[in-house]
Amino acid sequence: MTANGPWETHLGQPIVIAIRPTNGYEVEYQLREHAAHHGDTAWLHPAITAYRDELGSLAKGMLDAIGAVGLSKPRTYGEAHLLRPLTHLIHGPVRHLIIDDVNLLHAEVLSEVHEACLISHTQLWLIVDVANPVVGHRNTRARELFDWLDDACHIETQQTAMNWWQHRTTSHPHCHPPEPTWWHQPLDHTQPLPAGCPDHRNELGSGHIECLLAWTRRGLTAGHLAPGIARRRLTEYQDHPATTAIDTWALRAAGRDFYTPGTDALRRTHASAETLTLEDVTPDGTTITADGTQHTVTPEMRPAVARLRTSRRLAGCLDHEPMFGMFDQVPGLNPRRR
Amino acid sequence: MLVENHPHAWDVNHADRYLDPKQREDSLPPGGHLVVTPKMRQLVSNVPYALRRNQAIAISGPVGAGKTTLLHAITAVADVRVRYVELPADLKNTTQYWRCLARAVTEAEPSGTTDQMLNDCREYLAKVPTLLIVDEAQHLPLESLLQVRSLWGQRFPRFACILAGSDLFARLDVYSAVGSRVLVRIPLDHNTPQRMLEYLGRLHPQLAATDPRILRVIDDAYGHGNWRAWEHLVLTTYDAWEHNGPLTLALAKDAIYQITGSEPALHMPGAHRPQPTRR
Repeated sequence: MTANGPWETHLGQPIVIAIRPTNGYEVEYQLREHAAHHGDTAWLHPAITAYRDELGSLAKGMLDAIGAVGLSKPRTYGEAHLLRPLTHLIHGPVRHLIIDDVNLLHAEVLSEVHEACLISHTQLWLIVDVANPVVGHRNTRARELFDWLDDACHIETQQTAMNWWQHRTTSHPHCHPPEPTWWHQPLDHTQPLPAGCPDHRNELGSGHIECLLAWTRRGLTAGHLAPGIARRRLTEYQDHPATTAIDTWALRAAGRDFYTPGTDALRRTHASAETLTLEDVTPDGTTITADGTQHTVTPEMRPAVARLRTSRRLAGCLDHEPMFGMFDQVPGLNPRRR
Repeated sequence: MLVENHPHAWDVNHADRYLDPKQREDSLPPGGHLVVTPKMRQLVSNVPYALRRNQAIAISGPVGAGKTTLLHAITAVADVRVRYVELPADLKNTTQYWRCLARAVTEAEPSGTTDQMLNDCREYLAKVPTLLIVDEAQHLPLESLLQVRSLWGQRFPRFACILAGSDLFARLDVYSAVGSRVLVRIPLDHNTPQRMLEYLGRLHPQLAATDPRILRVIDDAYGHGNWRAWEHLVLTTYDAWEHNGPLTLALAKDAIYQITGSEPALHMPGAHRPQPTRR
């Protein structure tokens, strides 16, 4: 597991930013602006979809918000669990998750998000309209939500929260995202790829992919970028002649599919990797044990292996079970979750 | 719609000049002019700011208060792409309403779930500056309203949303997440007789040439400060009798009878009124 730094806010519990209708829009607008300076921050607006499971929509939105927009068109319906975004939160660089219009969500859904943030050491910020008049059948729902917020969260005034975000030190001060219009042009394959910043540089040479993913998150947080546009640019990046195999591994590991890159990486490490179980793979994906021998996974393939193993573990699989996809059944066993 | 940075952009005084011919035909009688009202100025002055800050403006008023004409005036002097959608009342569910909105925003036949349509809209608006006008927005179910609201919470290059409808403010206030995030609310109502007389002279040359006392009588008995009623009256006199000159009480009486099916009591103040015959 990587990047799980200490809690920056020293709280650990979700922080509620209480806003009032009179200036709610302005607070959200400015907060977005401050948050968009940080590549480790994701902004999520809960989507209201008819006839759909709330958690499914939220999981899809969360994957987009944290920059896991994927390299192909996502499935139509989201999965009614947060295991996929949670895997990315555990292994990815996102440390702050801000959700606005929390009044639209049920307490049970928020509870799931809270759980995911606790596991991944991600600070959860909830923007709540405290003067939300709720009528009719929604009364119970609102009461449950506010009870949950009272019990589980630390309530902060909008001014304090704004100050915190305004004065928060940027972890990557030299990483400057391109102009919003840059995203709207197809990537020119005759031109060299944009250079990465010194802050994201790594020994593998895939630092510019980290930059690209941070720009994606920042654009999505700012609100001027749509997930579909980001997905197209990432795909073009992957197809660019200057993109190396190491870059491709980094891009694939940041996608939504854990199984394909994970099993590819295992197969390239050892021919009989398909028969490996969870206990044969270390949690950080550095080594595997096959045929009684320990093999080292090359550094660029480790994120893919680690994510596959984590997703499988989060889905409730045990040490002796194989490294299949998240919910693939082992013959003779019933699925644990759907 | 004007080109970007046109010298007359957002200048409502030029709205009549740039009015779309189809919209002119829909909202004005032949030969009529767009009457610039204080509400129209208020709306036009707020739209450029709303576009910069991705905000929403709500207009509410009864039938005939001038909502649609107001929206047509905005369309005429806008220097961004304007997408105008009039929502029907009889759609079955939120997905159908969203389909209607997504079609208007993206100018393509939408497909997929509401979530996908919303993402398509986001994608489009991130690239193309747009003013989205939703007429008859009171028909939007609550969920659809919340979905529209999620559009104006983003930070697209230039985007604003104008929602117009009858009794719209009450609908917006059901959920403060929507109601509290509306930049400006413009309430419209039928005009007072005095104000209506002032406007009628500017609306149509036929009305400008008519004796104001006659206009007052017609407004008291039939018009009631309602733009639509007056436009209908002028249109009927033209269509039925090809009349272009000043209105007379007799002509107005015939036209109103044709429109409403009942004979109006049009009498000049102080004129001799025939007494009902007593048997």
